[in-house]
Amino acid sequence: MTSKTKLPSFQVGFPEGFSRGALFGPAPLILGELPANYKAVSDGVVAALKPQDFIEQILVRDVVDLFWEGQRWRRAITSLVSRAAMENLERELIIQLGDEKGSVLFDKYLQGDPGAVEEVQKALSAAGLSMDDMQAKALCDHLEDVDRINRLIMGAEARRSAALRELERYRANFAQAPRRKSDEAVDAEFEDVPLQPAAGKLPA
Amino acid sequence: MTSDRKLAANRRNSCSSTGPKTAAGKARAAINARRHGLRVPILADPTWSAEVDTMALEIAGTSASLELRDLARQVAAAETDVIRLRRARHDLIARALADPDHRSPMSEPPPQKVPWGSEKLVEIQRDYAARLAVIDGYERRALSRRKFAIRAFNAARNAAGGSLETNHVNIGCGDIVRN
Repeated sequence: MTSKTKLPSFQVGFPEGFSRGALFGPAPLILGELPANYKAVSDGVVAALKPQDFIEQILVRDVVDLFWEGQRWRRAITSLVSRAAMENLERELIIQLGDEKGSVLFDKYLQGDPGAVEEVQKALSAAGLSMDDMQAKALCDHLEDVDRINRLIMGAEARRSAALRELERYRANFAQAPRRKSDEAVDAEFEDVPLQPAAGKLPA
Repeated sequence: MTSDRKLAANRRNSCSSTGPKTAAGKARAAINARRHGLRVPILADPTWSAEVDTMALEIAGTSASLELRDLARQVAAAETDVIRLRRARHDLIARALADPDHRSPMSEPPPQKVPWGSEKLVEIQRDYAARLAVIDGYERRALSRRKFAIRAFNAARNAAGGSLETNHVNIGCGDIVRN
């Protein structure tokens, strides 16, 4: 029997029923991602950038979502390569020690048994290998995937930087308006008036 | 060469093949060429255009001038488009990831082990790369539209004195009132 998993749906950083939260839509979470983690990232970014109006909220939400997306793909690469490295290690141990002994040692190694860790190091050294070789082989096996995912990460980072730049520009322009008004008021206070001679005195 | 009898029959038959007759049939035929619907202008979609109106009101406020309201609407339309595209991309990935029966069309014959977690995510991304690239292209254009719309709105607001009505700002830790 198969079971369909329901994706979490909630408004991050926006109280329920509040129109702005509804406008931005639910948090972009996928299976395995924790709403609490997204909320922590969202709260952190919001606290740092302090959006002051709706347009700033749009740009800040962009920063949060794109950061989240970048992290998602980074985790994917790390997990993909680590898992492949472990598979390579298991294969190597089976080649060296045989089916049963290799599998048992690998299981103990995964559980973090210190004796097994030492034994695995010895087995690898005997074959002139190390864990780095396992990682390198894993990376080579998935090079195409890693390359493609890295491009996604770069894209998300470029868009996040663009959102931050736009936020900075928006704030700078917005700050100019009161300054201009203030300058106009100061100029009006110090209006140049032609010098009038005082009564009964001749100008020098 | 086609005989006269056959020609007449063809002509007779063609008269009865003039497309769907019922409203339901016509509605169905109207979306025959539709592939993903992401190129439909946001304001042509009644659901999304209502969101644009609400968002524009949030951006400009109720007492803004006609020009500012129009510019706010452009910002809202572009932002809603960005949201629509991101949701489409997210749905595509999330649905495949949550589907336990999902199998990559590229793995023929079926793989020995069923991928899960990050491996499955990477596989889905690879399988849908072409569709995701299309969505990505649309999103880039929508982001560019939004950038210029925000700049135009900001410039117009500054020219008007930079004062909109007091906004209630929700920053996720309760509402703050900016004066």
